[in-house]
Amino acid sequence: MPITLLADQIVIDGWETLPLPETSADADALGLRVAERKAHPGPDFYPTTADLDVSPVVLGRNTGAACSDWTPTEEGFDTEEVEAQHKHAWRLIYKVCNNRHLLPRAEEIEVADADVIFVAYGSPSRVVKSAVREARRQGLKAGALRLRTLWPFPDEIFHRQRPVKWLSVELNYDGQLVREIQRAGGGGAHFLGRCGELPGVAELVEAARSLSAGRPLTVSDPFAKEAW
Amino acid sequence: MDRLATKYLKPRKALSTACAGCGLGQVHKKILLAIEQLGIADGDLVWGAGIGCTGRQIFNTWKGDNFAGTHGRVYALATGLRLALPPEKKILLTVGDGDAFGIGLLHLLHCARRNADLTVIVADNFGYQSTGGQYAWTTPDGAVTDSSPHGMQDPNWMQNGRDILDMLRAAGAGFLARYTSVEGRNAVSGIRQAIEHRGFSLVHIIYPCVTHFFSKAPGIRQPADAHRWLRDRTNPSPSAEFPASELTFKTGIFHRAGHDTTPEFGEQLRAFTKKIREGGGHDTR
Repeated sequence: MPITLLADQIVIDGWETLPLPETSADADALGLRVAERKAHPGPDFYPTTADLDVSPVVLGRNTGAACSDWTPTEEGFDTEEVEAQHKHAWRLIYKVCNNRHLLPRAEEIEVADADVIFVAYGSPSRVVKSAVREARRQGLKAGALRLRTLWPFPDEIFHRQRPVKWLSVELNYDGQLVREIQRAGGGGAHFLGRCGELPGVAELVEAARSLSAGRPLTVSDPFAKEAW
Repeated sequence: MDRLATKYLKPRKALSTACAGCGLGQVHKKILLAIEQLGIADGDLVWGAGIGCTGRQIFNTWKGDNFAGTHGRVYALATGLRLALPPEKKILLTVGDGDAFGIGLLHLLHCARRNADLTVIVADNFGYQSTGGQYAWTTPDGAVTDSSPHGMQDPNWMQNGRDILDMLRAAGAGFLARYTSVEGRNAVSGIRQAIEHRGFSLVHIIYPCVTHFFSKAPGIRQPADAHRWLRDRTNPSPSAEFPASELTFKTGIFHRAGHDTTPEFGEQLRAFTKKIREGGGHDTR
């Protein structure tokens, strides 16, 4: 199953402390456990079922595994047949969509009574969390969704919110995520973007204040598309 | 079916899908002969492939485990695999000239620099033949190809004082050899020694593509004539009188490092982490 990790420069270049367990007691304290990787025993190594956690291609166990990024047939041999590409792509799409409940979807922060909900993915989501705290301290009803899986988009989480104003906080101009929010959130989506820097807590709180009061977001000049 | 194919290859892929007259089968067979001589079983070796003719034709033919990486990434994948697999398990990669000496050259150089214990067999057909015969980085000077209709205009890695093996040697490769597909026992012996070598080893084997390269550049359409062309240029006798501008192949073992060179990557990294784990840290001076 191909997995695409979308990261921004702060995530890529950032350094953080990562506690690694050195003893089994450390691992227990961190809530980690070692799971032996299951592998299809071969020789019909490519399972055409949608079973999870059975990898056909664990190398080094002499199962006749074939690991490549080429489209495989049911038997695992690579193929360039057009029909095989379609079949394989649909199999993967349905496998993900049918198991979407197993994927981490989104973290919901103070959304129950919120009037404005920030939506963020990656680095901005931390500033957004602080902004929710600060906005609440100032009496604004702000909440946030920190998206963890972008596809399949967590529509169900958007559907369960009461009518709110959405604010997509992104590290780009003009918005890439905001249109998905418009679609899943039933309109009312606004955008605040920054390039090369994170937004500040203060400007997010001000944005929440403007949206709560029904005012447009402030931009640096009339042609700027950094917020709308 | 061929004895070696029965012994080592998946029946489904034993009949190659390569073009008639392709020299790749000869290269594949030499590798299998070397494997047989070493007594390697299918569970002892993980076989990786690049892309292009060599990658696509040889991928998943091995009865044991197979992997492939697109466009020059297979060396990076293999380096990671070297750390994940037990040290006694062999890793062998079959790649093409475009993959090794062009698109993936940077990965290849870093793999050589780290001296990861794996063997790379570069099966060289003078260009990008699977995509229709465009020139690449070993295409002879002046050769007419799909993308060099007036003759190869780009300096290659093989002529005018350049040799890709020199570069790999400078990067730290411990074993380097060159053969052509028309050679027999000596090529098998070279491959065998490459597999036996503990550390990064590479064998460059030139083979003819009749469909694209030979039909365009020297204008040869008969496979036998293509193989003869290659044979004539393999270690030519001085009396053969090829002009200096003509590409000829001096074959054999090009370089073999002594025991005092760079330690093997996995070995070195395991020793390094063991030292840190034992609390000694490492000398940062």
